[in-house]
Amino acid sequence: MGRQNLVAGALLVAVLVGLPAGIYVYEAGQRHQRLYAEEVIEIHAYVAEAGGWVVHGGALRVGVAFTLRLIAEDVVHGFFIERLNVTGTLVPGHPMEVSVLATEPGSYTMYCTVSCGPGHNVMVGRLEAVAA
Amino acid sequence: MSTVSAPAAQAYPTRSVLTPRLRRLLRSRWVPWIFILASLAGFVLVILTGLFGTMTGNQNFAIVFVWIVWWFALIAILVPLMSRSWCAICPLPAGGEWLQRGSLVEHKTRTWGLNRKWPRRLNNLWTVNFLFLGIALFSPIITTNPRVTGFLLLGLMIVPIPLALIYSKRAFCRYVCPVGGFLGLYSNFSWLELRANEKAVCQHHLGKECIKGSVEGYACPWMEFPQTLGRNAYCGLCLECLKTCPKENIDIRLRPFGADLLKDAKDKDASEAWKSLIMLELAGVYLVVLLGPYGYLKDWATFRAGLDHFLLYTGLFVGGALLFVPFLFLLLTHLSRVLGGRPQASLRRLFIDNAVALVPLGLFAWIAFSVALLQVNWSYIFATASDPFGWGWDLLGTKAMAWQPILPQTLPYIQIALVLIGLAYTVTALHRLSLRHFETRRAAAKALVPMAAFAFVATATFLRLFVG
Repeated sequence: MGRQNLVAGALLVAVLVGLPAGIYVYEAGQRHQRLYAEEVIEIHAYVAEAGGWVVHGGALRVGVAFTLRLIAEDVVHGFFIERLNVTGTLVPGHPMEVSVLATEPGSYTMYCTVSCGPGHNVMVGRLEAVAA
Repeated sequence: MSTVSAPAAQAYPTRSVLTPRLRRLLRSRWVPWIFILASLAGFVLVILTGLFGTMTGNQNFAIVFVWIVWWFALIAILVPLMSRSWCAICPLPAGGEWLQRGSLVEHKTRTWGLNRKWPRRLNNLWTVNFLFLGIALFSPIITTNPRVTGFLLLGLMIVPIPLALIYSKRAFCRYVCPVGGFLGLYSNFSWLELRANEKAVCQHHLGKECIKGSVEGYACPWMEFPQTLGRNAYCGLCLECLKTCPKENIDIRLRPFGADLLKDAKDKDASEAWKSLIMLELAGVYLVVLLGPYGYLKDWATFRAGLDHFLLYTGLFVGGALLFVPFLFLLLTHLSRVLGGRPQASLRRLFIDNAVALVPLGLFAWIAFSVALLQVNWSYIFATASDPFGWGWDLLGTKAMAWQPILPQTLPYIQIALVLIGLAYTVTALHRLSLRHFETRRAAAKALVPMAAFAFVATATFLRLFVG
């Protein structure tokens, strides 16, 4: 293989492997920063048929203030978390952050409050809280 | 009454854009390779964002960059001003071509694969037409669903690989690529052309490196013969002939718009005429379905109204493009030759020539359609460039940029002007064709009436849809 092809091959590998790898590493860093730099839990909202509520970042700790970062992944959703009494409307592309403080361990149920699709009524999720 | 004899090909003024320095640069094997690599990087990002990014179309880089930025750049800038320059840097056939050549940049004499000739029966645009119609039929879904866009582009990058290993040269680009089909057709209107400067130089030069290849480069991958190349339709501007020609007789030059519309060529056939009519019809269909206020049609086109309505939509869409519009145009062409006093003239030849003369009208209708996309949606470009996956990144600090159309009140005037420019070019081309095909000016004027009426009705339809 000639020198020009070697250089071209290196550039091609940079595009085909380096670009996806760079994206993966960058997003992993971003997610890590979001989840562990402070007490943050990320919650992704999909229509019920596509998975409903998906929680990243573990559980709340009782008596510790957490930030919930909520992201609508497909259509407009609403959220209400019982006993924490937080609510809002989630527009795709516009993540929302709310602060919560769990006062007792257990499951906190999340509901969608905007009619988001055929499975709206069953779009129910759980957020766990453990003793600090 | 004066008798008119028009030449088969019109002479027109041209001006070379190649300076000695630019020619040296373009002879490098890194050109256009490095641009192909850049566009490949863009397509890799589009595929990744399409497959893994947010499903919200206007927040996803794949949808915004493919169907707004890329589409606008192709139809409104690259094709009118720079012919098939996109084909020169297109990453879709790159993988197949590199495997076929066994090389990325350098020239190799040995090629890989079966090196078969493309079947003679498919030596036309029919495959392109059917593939394009198939994709266009699902465009309301493709252009709004990032996953579908991602898979479509991934498929268009994979399909050329086996084709390149079975057939010689760029069979995919010339005979299969659904994008290349309309780029080639509309490039006949373009401002730019690549041609042999002095035909006599080519005729007396026996080496013919442009079709045999040399140490400097490959034989024309597009299966063209630069010595006789007369139209832009099938020249992909890959620059191999410019690299291989030892006489420096290949030139890139500016010319009047629409210079190729009236030229005769053996590859200007019925499939190209159909392509022109399909593109014209689709411009109208897209205006109605994608930008129009008819929500029920969107439901038909996206299965929301059920399979029966989708099948009805398919019948109207495909039937209109393949049968109704061409049949109507054929009838008008027949009427034209009767009115022109030459009922024995070849209906096929007249039909093809007249249909290709519709290229400016179709092209400018598409530009008008694309201007609307860009003027309304441009702010999404900055938002998705900053957060291509919709994951919450903000690379450029423009993620939160609010939606803001650019001077939307000017849009109807811009669209009216564009469509009227297309009409003027088309009627001029039809008139010149009439002068060529019919004996006298009076006969030519009579023959022009039905063809011009078709163009005027099409224009009135576009204006109605644009302006309401």
